[in-house]
Parts: sequence; C-alpha cells; structure tokens
Amino acid sequence: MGRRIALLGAATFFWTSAAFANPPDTFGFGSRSTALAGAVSADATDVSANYYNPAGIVGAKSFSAMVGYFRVDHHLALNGQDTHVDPVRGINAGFVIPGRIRSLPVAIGLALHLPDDRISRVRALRQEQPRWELYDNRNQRLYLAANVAIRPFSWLEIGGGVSFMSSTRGRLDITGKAEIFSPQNSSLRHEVDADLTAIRYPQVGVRVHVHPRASLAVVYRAEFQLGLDLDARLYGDVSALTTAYYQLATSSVNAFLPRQLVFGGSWRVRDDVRVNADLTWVNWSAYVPPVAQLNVDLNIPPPAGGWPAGISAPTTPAPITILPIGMRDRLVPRLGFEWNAFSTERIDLLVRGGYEYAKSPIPRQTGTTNYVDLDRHSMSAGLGVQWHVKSHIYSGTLSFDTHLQWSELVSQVFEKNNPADFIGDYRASGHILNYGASIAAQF
Amino acid sequence: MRAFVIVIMAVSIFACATLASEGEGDRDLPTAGIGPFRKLVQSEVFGVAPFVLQDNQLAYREPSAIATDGNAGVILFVGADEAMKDGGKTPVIARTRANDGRSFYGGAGDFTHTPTIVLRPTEPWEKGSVGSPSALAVGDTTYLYYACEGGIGLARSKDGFAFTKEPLPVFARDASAPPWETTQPKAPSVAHFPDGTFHLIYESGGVLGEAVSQDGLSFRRLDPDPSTPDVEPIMGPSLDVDPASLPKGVLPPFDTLRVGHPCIVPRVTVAGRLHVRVLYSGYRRSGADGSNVTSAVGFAARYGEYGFLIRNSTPVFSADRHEEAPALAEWERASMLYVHEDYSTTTTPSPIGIAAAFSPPSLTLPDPVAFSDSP
Repeated sequence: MGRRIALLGAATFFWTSAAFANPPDTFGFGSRSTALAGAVSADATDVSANYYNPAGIVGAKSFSAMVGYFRVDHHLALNGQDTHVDPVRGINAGFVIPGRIRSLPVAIGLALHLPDDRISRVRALRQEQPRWELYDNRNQRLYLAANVAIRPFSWLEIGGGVSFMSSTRGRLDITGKAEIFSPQNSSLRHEVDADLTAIRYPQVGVRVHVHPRASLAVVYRAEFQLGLDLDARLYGDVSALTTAYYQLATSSVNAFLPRQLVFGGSWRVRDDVRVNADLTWVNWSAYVPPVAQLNVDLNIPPPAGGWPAGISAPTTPAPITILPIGMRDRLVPRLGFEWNAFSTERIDLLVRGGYEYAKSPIPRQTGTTNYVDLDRHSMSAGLGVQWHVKSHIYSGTLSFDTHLQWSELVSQVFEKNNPADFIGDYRASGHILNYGASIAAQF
Repeated sequence: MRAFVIVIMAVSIFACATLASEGEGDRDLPTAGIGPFRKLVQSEVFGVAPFVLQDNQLAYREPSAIATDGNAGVILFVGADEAMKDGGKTPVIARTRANDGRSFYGGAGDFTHTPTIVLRPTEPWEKGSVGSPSALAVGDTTYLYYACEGGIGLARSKDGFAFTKEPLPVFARDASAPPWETTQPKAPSVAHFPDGTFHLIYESGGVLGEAVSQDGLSFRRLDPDPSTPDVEPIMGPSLDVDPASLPKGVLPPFDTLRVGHPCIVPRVTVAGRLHVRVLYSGYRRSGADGSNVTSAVGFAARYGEYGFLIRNSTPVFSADRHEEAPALAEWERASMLYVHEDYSTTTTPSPIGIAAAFSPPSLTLPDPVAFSDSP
C-alpha cells in the first residue's frame, strides 16, 4: 500500500504541469483556513496545507478530499467612484493522501483553485493609468499546487512542492497591400504564432511539534515572474505610393509573485481552544510592475512628389521609460483562533475567527505612476461542523465549513507633486468582501 | 418529472454556453479633467466632424464656454465677423447654446438659425472691435470679459443677452506695465476663485501674465514670485531644442515660439488644494526653413493662489490644423474642449470654425439628438 501511494505521489508530483498564480496569497484557500485569517502554517493538515505549509499534509490522519466555492467582491473606489474591479470567484478543491513507505510516514497532496470566469487574464496598462495594482489583475488566474511530505521523526514534518507557470510569447505578422483611398480593396495576410512556455517555482515547509499542544512552522515560497512577450510586424505596399514597415516588440511581466517566508505557531490552549499566529515576510521590493516595454521601428518613406494633401505620415512613437515602482518588503501578521463550542461523540461545532494586517508595500503615488494600493485590515469569521460517521457505507468525518472575511482598506488621498499631471489628486478607499463554503470528507 | 429534467438540462446548457464577462477595473478613473482630448468623430456631430460651429463669412473664433448643467449643456460665446452694409466686417461677440455640448443653435448643419450677437464695439477705446470673449457666471449675472484695441473690457448681463458695458477698460497696458508686456493685454480668461477674487490671465508679448481683482472691475497685476522686485509673467515659451539632439521618437516642445489664448479653470482637489489649471495655445516654428508656424493646445497648472505655471510637456490636443484659443466645458465625469482651427486642408488661408474634442478619450458620445432651439 505504501509503495503504491509513493508511486501515485511521484506521478502526481511530476504530472502537475499546468499553471497558476496565486489568488490564495490574497484571499486564502479553503474556508477553515480563511476563517482563521490564514494563520495556519503550523496548524493546517487538511487540503489547504497544500498552500499554507506542504509539510502539514503528512499530519493528515486519513485520506481527505475537499471541494468548496468562494467569491470575493471588490468595492474599490477612486474619488468615490467604484472602479468595478472584477470579482475573484471559483472552486477550491484538492486532496491529501497519507501513507507510509516502509516505516516512513509520507503524504501527497494536490490543491486547485479553478476560476469560473476566466482561466487567466493578461493586462499591460500604461504606468500612468490608475489601477488597483494588487487586486486588478494578479488574482485572475488558475492556481494548482502539488506536494509531497514526510515525517522522519515524530516531531518533524517536511514537505515541498513545485508549480509550473506559463509565460506567453507571441508574434503577429501582417503583410500585403493597403489601399488608403479604398480600404475595401486592401489585401492583407495575417500570421499568428503564440507559444506558452513553462516557468517553475518551488515551495517548501517544515513543521516542528515542540510540545504535545504546540507546533512551530517555517514555509518558503519562491518568486516567479509570468512574462508576456509579443511582437508585431507589418510590412507592405501603401496604395502603390510607398512602402510601410512597422515593427513592435513589447515585453512585460504580467504577474509577479514575490518570495515569501512564513513563521508560524499553533498552540492548543485548552482541549477545545486553539490559537494560531503567522508572520509572513513578503519580498515586495523585487516586484516588477506589469508595464509593457515597447520598442517600435517605423519606416514609411514619402512617395515621389511628396504626400497627398491632407495625408501625413505617422512618426515613430517615443520609447517608454518605465519608472521604478519602489515597493517595500513587508511583514504581514495574522492571528486566528478556533473554539470547539459544542462537541459530542458524533458532532463537533467549531467557531473561528481571525485578523490580518497587510500594510501596503506601494509608496504614495505622488509622481507619474498610479499603482494604487492601501493598508488593509481583514477580519474573518467562520463556522465549521464536523460529523463523525460510522456506518457500513461510510466511516470517517464529514466537514462543512464557511467563512466570511471583511477587508477594510484605509482611505488615503494621493497628492501629486506636479500640478500639470493629467490625473491629479485623488482619494482611494474601499472594502473587500470574501465569502464561501467548503465540504470535506476524511476516511 | 420529465419537464423538470428538460428545464434543468436547458439551464445547464445555457449556463455552460455563457461567456465570461469582459474584464473591468478601469471604470470612472480619476483625471484632472483637462484632457488629453480626442476630436469628435462624424457620428458624434451633425456637421462635418469635428466642427460644431462654422460659417465661412462669420468666421466664428475664440470660444468661451459656460457649462449650464451637469449633463452636457453649454452656452458658447464666440468672436465673429458681422457683415456691414458698406461691405466691411466688424468683429463682434455672439452666443449660442447646445444641450448636448455639440449641437449648437445655428451650429454646423443648423442652416435656419444663426447665433445671436450680444456685443458690438461702441466705445471709443474699443477702436472698432471686440473679441476673445471670456464668460463666467457669478451668481445670477453673466460676466463677459473681452479684448479690444484699448485693453480688456467687461460687460455684464442678467439674462445673458443684453449686456451693459463698463465705461472704461478693466485692465490695460499702462505705465506700471512690466517690460515683457510689449503689447496691449489680449485674449483674457477670467475665473472666480473660491475666496471670491477674480483672477485674469492674459496674453501679452507672447507670454502669459496674471492680474487679480476683488470685484472683477479693477485688476492689479499679480507677481508670481514676490521675493523678486519685478513682476514676472506666469509662463513663457519653452526653451527651443534642436530636434537632432533628441532620442528617436521624442518630439521637440510644441510651444517654443510663444504662448497665448489662456483658458483658466480653477478647482479644489479632493486634497483640499486650490488647483489652477490653464489651457493655452502653444506655437513653434516648423518646416525646413522655420517659416511655418504650428500650434497645439497645452496644459499648465499650479497649486495655490499665485505662482508660476508648470506645463505638461505633452499637448492635450493637437490636430495639425492651426488649432488655438481653447475653451473648456467641464461636467462631473467628462469635459469638452472647444478650439478654432482650419476648416479646410486645401484652401490657403483656410476659413476657420469651432471644433470640439472630448475627454476621456476612451468614451464615445451617443449620437446627437437635436440642435438647441434657442441661443
């Protein structure tokens, strides 16, 4: 049995080749963990451990499968006007399979966030355009993680996984003849060549049981950059007057996940009360904003005798100078508690709560750029019901968890240094509502 | 039961076949309300886009706009030429109205009406011409500042049609004028500031100066830098740059020859700061021998009651048709720019007309519905 589990784990580990960025970073994974404000790196042994701490999956007592749904509604306003940032919503699902290889406890796990609106979203805005940098585009994508964990000693659990991201490279060629006086007679050929290339990044975690009632954890998540490179080339004849050559090369980082280092602790204060705390260092200073670097080559020689009246040739656009965003590393504290408020042999009713403070890593936008972000206070709550079943059909625990998280963004006014700025001063404010539920089965 | 299954299947198929909504996140973004602008397209006007007021004989020019409501209503005062019985022409000021910011009474395509003339030269010091109107509503009174040979005059009206002139210019070049004021002040633009003062920005000698008044009737020059003994202009032309020294694709400044036709639009930002925004015409020499002069509409601004203007290096509107004399009508989430520019690309000199441009440029206006039925 142990050998088969190990083979299944290895297969899963290497099969995981699709991929993923990180809505869980911002909104959590699984209703129980989100209700605890994500302070579960030393506590989670369920499917959510695939994200929070892969070492935790080896703590699962039996096979566990989870499926849930969540939705995040943004109410983010600039100058009091809602900018209609898209909601993040979709299915969270996964499984954990514990077992043994010889006498070594091992486990494999898989976690998936499947958006129900779009698999991924590519966006490269001008750096002057106001946008909610951490909420607008980064969370609109698939997330998939696969992990393996072992417990070499009874007090030590080690886990890790690897994920694959997909970069985009594409080329568009247009050749032919353009009739500027009768466009319907133009004859143009289009050729598109797009390529998705894989990018890998690892995550590892350790959990140490320092006391029968207390555990500590360290988790590391690596950085990745999701690139977007597009080339466009236009070459042809313009109404037999002249030729036109236009080449555009654009390169940008469409999504960036900073390195993270999590320190966590979990303490069972009483038999029915657990308190968790996490502190996450986020390497935001390495952040690369999703602004396209453009290189343009345009050559349209004037026809013999000059341009016809009313027609002038376009000029080559000036190259874009991308200004540094200047983000700062941040420490994000999280606190959570879980109280087993009602317990019988068959039913447990759990009440959960949590708090997270995420200070914005983006400096005040007083210059040309407008990467909008605000300090965020997140308060979460949730209920869980565990039903312990023993029958000839099913023997195990069925869990139903819900979560509700309210994030309040501290309103701030951005004052521009340059009075001739096209955007000018503006006030940013907002809140985010995150809610969902999940069911899990352990057997 | 069978019907239930069919309904469930139909709903499921319908749900599976739906497409994701188009991504958003960039609706109602903040702007300084001052562009960049895009010229109106043919579907947005009755006449020939982007013109909203054009007549070869009357030569509408130098617009000044008052937004009358929060929904694109505009009263436009313009300079024009009135045909005289002797065959000559007299520069006058006319007014018209549009309920949608575009379809003016007597505008391009409204052949049965003509904007109403509200001001003619009558005073000796006007020397036979009035023009460059700058209109603003103060309470229930319309203040109409105008330029003439003798300086800047003021006429006031309760109904916006019958104006009573001040007997003398409210601002003129006199012995106290600074050395850079080499011409009579012209192209006035006046705004009523939140503290109750009237600020006048004018053109003289190819630069912009500023004057202030407590009552709108008597102006004194405003020094942008009180730490120096002289009264300086608040903005002059940009320094000239050799285009060959610029990186590929970088255009030289558009206003190196002179600046003029200011349009002052103050506001208080969400930060509580007084934001003095000024649109202006910028001119530079072009062509191989520098004999041509091109123009574009620029944006300069400052924070506070006084001081120099700081310009944005990018024009807010440039159409390569000698556009100049900007006027702005501003509503809560959009603004319309009016300029006069060449109507023809083949006739030299070209007749001019009032063209319109819109901001934010990403929005498309609905089709025009009807011309205003009154001026």
